[in-house]
Amino acid sequence: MLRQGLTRLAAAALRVQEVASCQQVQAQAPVTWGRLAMATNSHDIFNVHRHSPDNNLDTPFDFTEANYELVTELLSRYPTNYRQSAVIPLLDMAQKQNQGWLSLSAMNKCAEVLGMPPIRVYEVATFYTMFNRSKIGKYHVMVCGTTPCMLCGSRKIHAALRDHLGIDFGETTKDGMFTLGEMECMGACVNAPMIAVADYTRGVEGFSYGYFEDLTPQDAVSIVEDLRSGKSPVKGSQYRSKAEPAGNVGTGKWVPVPQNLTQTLTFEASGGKPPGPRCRDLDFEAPKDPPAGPPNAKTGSNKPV
Amino acid sequence: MSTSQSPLAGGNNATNGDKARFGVVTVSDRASAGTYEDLSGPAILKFFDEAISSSWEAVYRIIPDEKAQIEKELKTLCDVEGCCLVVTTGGTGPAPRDVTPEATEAVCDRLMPGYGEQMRAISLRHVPTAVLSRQTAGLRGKSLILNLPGKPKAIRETIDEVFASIPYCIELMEGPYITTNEHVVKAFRPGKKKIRASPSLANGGPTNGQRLCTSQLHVRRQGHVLTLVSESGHRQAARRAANALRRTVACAEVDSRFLQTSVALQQEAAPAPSDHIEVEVNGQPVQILKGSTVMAACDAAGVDIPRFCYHHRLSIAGNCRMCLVEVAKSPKPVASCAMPAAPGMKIKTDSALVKKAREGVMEFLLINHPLDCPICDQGGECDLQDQSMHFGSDRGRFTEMKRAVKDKNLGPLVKTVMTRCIHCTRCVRFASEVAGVQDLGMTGRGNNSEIGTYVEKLMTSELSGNVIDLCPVGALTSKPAAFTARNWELRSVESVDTSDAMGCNIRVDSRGNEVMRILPRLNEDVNEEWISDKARFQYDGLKRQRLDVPLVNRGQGLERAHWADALTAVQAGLKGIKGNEMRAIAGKLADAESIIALKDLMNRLGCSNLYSDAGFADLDADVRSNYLMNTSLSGISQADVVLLVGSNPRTEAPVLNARLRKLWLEGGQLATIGPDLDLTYPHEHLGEGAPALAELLKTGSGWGKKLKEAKNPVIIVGPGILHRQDRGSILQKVHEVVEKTGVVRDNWNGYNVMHDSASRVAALDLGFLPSARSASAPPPKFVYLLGSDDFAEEDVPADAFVVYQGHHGDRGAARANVVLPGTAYTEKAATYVNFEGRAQRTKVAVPPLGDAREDWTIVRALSEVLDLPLPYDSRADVRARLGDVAPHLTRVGEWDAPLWLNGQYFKAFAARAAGDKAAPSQDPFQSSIENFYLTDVISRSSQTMAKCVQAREVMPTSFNTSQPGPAPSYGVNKGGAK
Ligand code: SF4
Ligand code: FES
Ligand code: FES
Repeated sequence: MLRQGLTRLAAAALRVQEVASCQQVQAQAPVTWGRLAMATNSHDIFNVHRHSPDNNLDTPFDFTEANYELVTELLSRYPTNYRQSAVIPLLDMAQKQNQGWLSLSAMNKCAEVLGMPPIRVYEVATFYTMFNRSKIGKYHVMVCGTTPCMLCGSRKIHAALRDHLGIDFGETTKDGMFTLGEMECMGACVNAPMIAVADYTRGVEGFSYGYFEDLTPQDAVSIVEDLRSGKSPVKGSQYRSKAEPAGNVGTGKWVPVPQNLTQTLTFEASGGKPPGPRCRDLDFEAPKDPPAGPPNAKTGSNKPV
Repeated sequence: MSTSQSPLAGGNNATNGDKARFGVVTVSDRASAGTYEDLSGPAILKFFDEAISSSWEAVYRIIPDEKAQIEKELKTLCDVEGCCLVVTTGGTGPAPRDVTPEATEAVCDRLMPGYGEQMRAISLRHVPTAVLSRQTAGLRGKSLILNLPGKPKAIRETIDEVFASIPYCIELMEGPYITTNEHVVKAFRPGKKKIRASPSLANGGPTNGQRLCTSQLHVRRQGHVLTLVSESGHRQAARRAANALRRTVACAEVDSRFLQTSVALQQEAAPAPSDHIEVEVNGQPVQILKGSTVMAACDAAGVDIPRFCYHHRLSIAGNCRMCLVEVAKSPKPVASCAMPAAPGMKIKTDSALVKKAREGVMEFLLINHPLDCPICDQGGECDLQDQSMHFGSDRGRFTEMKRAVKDKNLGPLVKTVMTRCIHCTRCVRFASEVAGVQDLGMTGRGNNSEIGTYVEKLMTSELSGNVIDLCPVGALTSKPAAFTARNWELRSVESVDTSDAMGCNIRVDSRGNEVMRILPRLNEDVNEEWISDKARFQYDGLKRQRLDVPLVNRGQGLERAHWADALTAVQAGLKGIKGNEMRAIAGKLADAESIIALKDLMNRLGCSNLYSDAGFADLDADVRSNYLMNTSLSGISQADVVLLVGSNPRTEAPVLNARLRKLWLEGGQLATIGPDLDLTYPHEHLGEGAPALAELLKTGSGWGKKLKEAKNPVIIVGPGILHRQDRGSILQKVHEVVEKTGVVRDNWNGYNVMHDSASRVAALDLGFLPSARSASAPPPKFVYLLGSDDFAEEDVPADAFVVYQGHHGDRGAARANVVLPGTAYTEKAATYVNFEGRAQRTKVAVPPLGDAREDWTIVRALSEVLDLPLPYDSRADVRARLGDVAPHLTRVGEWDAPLWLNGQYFKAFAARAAGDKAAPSQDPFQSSIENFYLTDVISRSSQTMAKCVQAREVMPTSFNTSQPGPAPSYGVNKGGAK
C-alpha cells in the first residue's frame, strides 16, 4: 500500500515537473493564450505516450469494414514497396473514424496495415499538429490566430468562445462537445477573422472541416450553439457571398462598405482617381467610439480626417 | 643591412604544425662589429628559400669569433629556440681566432665528421686551399649543427650537395618532415621513392584550431583510400602505424595498395583517373572520388570539419548544421556532410563566413543544452564540449528559459539525460540501420522534439551500448558506469574481448586495479567499431565470485591454502594414476598460452585425453578450414547470398550479425535453417533441421540454385551444429551442399564454421583434442579443469580427483578437490584466436587478484612440483613454443586464408560418415546459446547482465503489448524495414 502510494506520489511529482517545464514554454505566449498547450497548435501536451484508462495498448481499434475498403483503395495509389507513403492519409482516416483522435492502438493498427515499425508512425503522428493523440471533443473548434485574423479581431473571437464554452485552448467542454484550439493561418484571411470546425460526429464518410468566416464574437457563439443543438450553421462568410470588398467585422459587428467603394476597378467615388492604399495613419488618434466605417470611407481619400 | 631583405621564413605557410626552425650563425669579428656587411648568412637564407618547399623559419645571428660566445649561441639555438638544423659560417680556417669547429665539438653530444669530409671534397674540386678548412658537424639533442665555409660562393657550392642528406637526417632525429624543391636539391630518403611529400601534412596540415580529435593518429577513410594523418606531424609515426595497418588490411574493400601515409591522393603530373574529380579546398587542389561529399573532400585535404550528426557508418542526416563550409558562388554556407562535391568546386573552410556560421550553430545548440558539464559523465570526452571550446562564446545572449525533457528508460544499460540531447539522431539511425531494432525515434517537432521510444519500452538490441559512443553529448551514457569515474582518471589498455568467439577489439579503461569500463576499438577487419552489450558491460562480473587464493579440499570442504600446499595436493592426487586415467578439459575462456602449457604437461604425464567443454571431441581438426570462418569477417561483407545453418548470430556474435544486416541492406539475400528467429533483417526460413539441408541438394531447389548462381555465396555453420551428437553426418550434408553449389571456388571460400567461445579455435589449432586411443580410455580418476565450468557431468566422475584452475567460483570450482586461482582476460597478456583464425592478444589492464597467477605460469609451476619441468620460463618462451606448434599464433592480428586442400577432406568426411552410417537426426537445429547475457563465468557473475535478463522479464519489449517477451518483428519478413 505504502509503496503504491509512494509511486503514485512520485508520478504526480513528475507530472508537475513536466507541466512546469511546459509552462516555461508557454510563458512566452500572450497572456490570454495561457493554457498548458505546447508552443505547437496541437492540444496534446506531451510527445511521449503515457497509458491512461482510455488510451492504452488494450484500447480497441480496428478499421471498419467499409473503411478497410477505403484503406485498400488508398494503398493501391502507392507502389507496393512504398506502402509507408500512405501513412498520413491512413492516420487521417483512423482519426476520423476514432472520433477525432488517434489512440495508441489506432497508430499501431496503421503501422500494422502498412507493415512499418510503430515508432515510425508515432514520429509522423507527433510531428503533424492536426493529428490529435488524446481524446477530443466532437467538434474541434480552431480559432485562427495569425496576424490578419488577429488584426481583424480574432482575440475577441477567442475570448467570446472561451467565456461561452468555459474552456481555453487545448481544453474540452465537460459534455465532450467542443475542444478549442488555435491554428495558424488557414488561408481565409480575406474574410478574417475565421474559425475552422472539424466535425467528428459523422465518421469518415460524413467528416467535415468547415470554415466560418467574417465572424463577430456573437456569430462565433451562435455557431457553436447551432452545432450543439444539431443545426448546421452557414459555412463560409457569414455576411458576403464571396471575397468581394463588401465590408468587415473588425469592429465587432458587420459594417458594410458604402456601395460605391465596392467597385475597386472603377474610380468613380474618388473622382476618377484610384483611392490609394488604405494605410493606417500614424498620427491618427483613434476616437473612443469607432466611426461607422473605415476612417476615410467618406472622403474616399487617404488623407487624415 | 641587406639581411632585412633576406627571407627569414618560407615554404608553404599554410601550416603551423610541423614548421622547421633553422638557426643561421655568422661567425665573424668584423661582421659582428659592423665593419662589413655579412653576405654569408643571407646566402644561406636564400638557399633555404629556394630549396625548401615545406614550411620553415630561421633565426639569424651574427657573432664574433669568441669560443665561449659561439658555444652559448649554439646552445641557445638548439635548446631554447628549438632549431632542428643550425648552420654556422666562418671561423673554420687555420687562423688563431678561427674556433668555430672547436665550439661546435664542445656543444655536440655526437660528431658527424662525414659532413666535413664531404664539404672539403666538394670544395677541393674548385680550390686546392679547401684542405685548410676544418669544418665539422655534430648532433646536439635533436639538432644538427653544421659548419659551412665562410664565402657565399663556397657556401652555395657545398650546401647544394650536402643538403640532400639533411632532411632524412632530421627525420631520423624525429624532427619535422622537410621537403625540398627538386630542381634545387633533391632530398634523398632511402627506400622512400613512392611516398611523396604530403601536401596535407607537410604543407596543408590541420589549419588553425580545426583539429578536434585528441588521438595522435587519425585514420581517414574515403572510398578505397585510407589515409593516416599524424597529428604531431611525425610522419615516421604515421608510417609505422601505416605499416602495421597494412599488415592487417587484407580485404579487397580497402586494398593495402591504397593505404598511404598522409596523402598521395595528389599525384604530381599524373592525370586524374576518370572516376576522380578535382576540387579546391582552401586554395589547395585535391582529387576525390566522384560522388564524394564536400566533407570528404575536406577530409582528403587534411582539413577537419566539425560535426555532430555525421557518422561515416550511418546514413547522412544533415541536421546539426555544424559542418557548414563556404562554397564559391553559393549564396549561403552549405552543410558539407550532405553536399556532393562537384568538379572544380572551390571550398573554403577558414573564411569569416564559415567561422560566423559555426559560431551561430553552436550558439543555437547551447541555447537548450544544460550547463551541467561538472556532473556529466561525458565531460572530458564530449564533442559538444570540445567544439564549443572552438566555436562557443563565453557569454550567451539567450535570457529565456531552457527547455527540459523527460528522461527515458531504455533499460539497464543506457542512461539517458534527454535534456542534453542535441537531436543529431545518431542513436536513432544506429538503432534502425546498424542494430536493426526499430525502437528509437524522434517524436514531436521543432523545439519540442524528443528522442525516445514514445511508449516506454526496452531497447531490444544486443548492440545497444554503442549508442553511448555515438552520442556526441552526454544524453546517452553508460548506466552501470554512471558517476563512477571521470574519463581522465582512467588508464587505457588495448585488449581483446572474450565474451564471444569473434575477438572484438576493445579498450579496457581502469583505475587502480578496477576495470571501470570497456569500449570498442576500431578494427575494420573484425568489429569495425562496435561491440556487443555483453562485451561492454559484463566487466562488473570481474569483481564478483572471484577466486583469489588456492583452495584445497581435505575432506571438510575447500579451505584456503598456500600455493606450495595446493600444488603438492595436486601431486598427491596424481599419485598412482596412470596417464590414460587422466583427463584435461579446457573451458570457454582458456587462452592459448595455458592451453599449450597444459597440453605439454599432460603429454608428459602420458595423458592424451584432452578435451574442451564444447563437446565436439571428434571434430576433424587436421585441416584448419574445417573449423574456421574461411571467408573471414571482411570477406563476408562481400557476400551476396548467405545461408545460416543452425546459427543465431544475433546471440552468438552480435557484431557479426550487424555485418550480416549491412549485407542485407546492400542487397544481399539471407536464409536460415534452424530456429525461426528475428535476426533484425528479413531472411527466408528454409526449415528447422536436417531435412531442409537435404532439400537443398535436390535439383530445382530454389536456394540451391541461388547459392550456385551467387557471385560470392556463403554458408555459415553455427556452433549449435557442432554441439550435436550427429554433427558428423550434418557436416557431411553441408559439405555436399558446398560441393554441389560450388560455395568454394577459385579465389572464394564461402564455407564457414562459427564458434561461440573465445578459447575454441586456439584449442583446436593447438591440437587440444583427444587422441585416437582416448576413445578406449577408462573413466578418468584425475580431471584437470582449465577454467571449465560447462563440462558434461559424465566427463567428471564422482570419484575423480578434480583440479580446477580458473578465476571464478562457479560449477567447476564447486566440484574441485584443488582450486588454483588464475586470471581473467583483463589481467593477463594472453593470446586468443577468433573464429576466423586470427590470433589476437589481450594485455594486462589490471593486476591479478590476491594470490592469483597468470594461467600458464600455474601449469609451469605444477610441472616443476611434478618433476616434469616444462621448457619455458618466460612469456616469450611460451609464445615461441606456440609458434612451433601453430605458427600463425605468433602473427598477431593477421589473418591467413586457411588452406582448402582442394576439398580433399570432403572425401574423408564422406568415408567416415559412410562408416558410421548415422543418418542425421530429425531434431530441429538449435543455437548453442540459450541466454545471450549468461554465457560464461564472467557474464554469469555480472549483476548488469542479470539486470538485462530481468529487464526482458519486466519491461515491455514491444510497442504492441504491455507484456514482456521476445521482441516482435515488423514488416513482411522478420526484421525491420529498410
Ligand atoms: S541522444 Fe545523443 S545520439 Fe541521440 S539524438 Fe540526442 S544527441 Fe544525438
Ligand atoms: S490569418 Fe487567419 S486565415 Fe489567414
Ligand atoms: S555534420 Fe553536416 S549537418 Fe551535421
